[in-house]
Amino acid sequence: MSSTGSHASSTPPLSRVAMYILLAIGPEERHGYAIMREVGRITGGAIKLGPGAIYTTIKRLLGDGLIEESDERPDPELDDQRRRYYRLTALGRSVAATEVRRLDALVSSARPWALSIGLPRT
Amino acid sequence: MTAFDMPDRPGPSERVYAGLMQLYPAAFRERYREEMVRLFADQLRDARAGRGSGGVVTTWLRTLADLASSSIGEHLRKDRTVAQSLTTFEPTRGMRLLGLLGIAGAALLLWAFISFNPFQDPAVNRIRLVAFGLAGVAIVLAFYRRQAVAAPNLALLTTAGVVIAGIWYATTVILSEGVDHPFLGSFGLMNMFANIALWVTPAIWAIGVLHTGAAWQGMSRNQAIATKLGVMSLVGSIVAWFGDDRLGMVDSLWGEMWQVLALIGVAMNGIGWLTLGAVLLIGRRGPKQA
Repeated sequence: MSSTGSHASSTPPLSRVAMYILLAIGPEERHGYAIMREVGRITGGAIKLGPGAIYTTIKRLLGDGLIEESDERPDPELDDQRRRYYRLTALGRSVAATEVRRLDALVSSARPWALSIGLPRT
Repeated sequence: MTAFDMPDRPGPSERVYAGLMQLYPAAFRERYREEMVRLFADQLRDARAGRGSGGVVTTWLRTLADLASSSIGEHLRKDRTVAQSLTTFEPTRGMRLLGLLGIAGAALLLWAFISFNPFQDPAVNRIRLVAFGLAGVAIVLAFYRRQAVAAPNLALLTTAGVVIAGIWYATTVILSEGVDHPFLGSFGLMNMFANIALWVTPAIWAIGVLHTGAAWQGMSRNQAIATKLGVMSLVGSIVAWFGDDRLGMVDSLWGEMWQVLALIGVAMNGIGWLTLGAVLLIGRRGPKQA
């Protein structure tokens, strides 16, 4: 395993907001508004993050080296040039993947119990 | 103008929101103000266009709640990283200092409890009352980060309750001394409710701590046991409220028993803060979890 992968697997679970933001950025470069929209989309509208939650978490994600600011700017015809875009670092991608595996294992272990008490199959 | 553009001149709502950003730490504000105001403007634009999940009023209310929780959180954990570790318990210097303050306040409470108040000088006694009023504030602030990792909203709500109650109590002790007034006096309504809050809010906080289980994550076995005992002691301290009841309700309900319950509750409050303070003060790195 690479040093980045090894580092990621040893990190503790992320906070929920941090996880949503990492997953919302995904393979793209996104600004705050796009992150907010994407979090809403991937959670089926259940999670609505405000500017405070997003940017306090972005600050910590930047500090942890999980995301970085992109220098590239989109076409001014398509977007506001003053926006800042964020993307995952190699460590961020690795941590996000680790987090998805953790969640997957959690759901797998809970599924038999959930089905046994009559929760609907998906 | 594209759907992503923001006009150069912000509207009244954006200006108000920009002003409210004074609530954040200066460094954070400096770095993120422009982006956050832009995001808020985007949300308002969606709300006005019917694309958001609510109207302008809903957007404002949601943003104010977000502002309140995130600004307090940013002040309390401005140096915290997302990978906030619950896998080890290693109190920072600030946590140890808060633990020490908690121990000092709780020790003063218990000392007076055991010695039947040796602090005869009113000025010294006031210092004692203020100190144990603030003991809980110190302890809950020290545990806030760990709590917030597991349940941010619950942590904020329960911590704020203890902080407000402790500061409120300390303030009324200082301001009401020698004052004979039905509202502001030593036995006035303000003082009475401050007393009640002083016993009730720690119990609520402690129930929250038991609920999340984050407080003792990563601690050694002995630290974890001490923490659980301290927290459970604080849950029990709610019975001290019966001793502070001055409306006569408790008297009629419990008769003579209220005095015993009150004393037990006060002792549990002191023991709870003392134990948690000791855990913070002598905390060592716990075993790493897989």
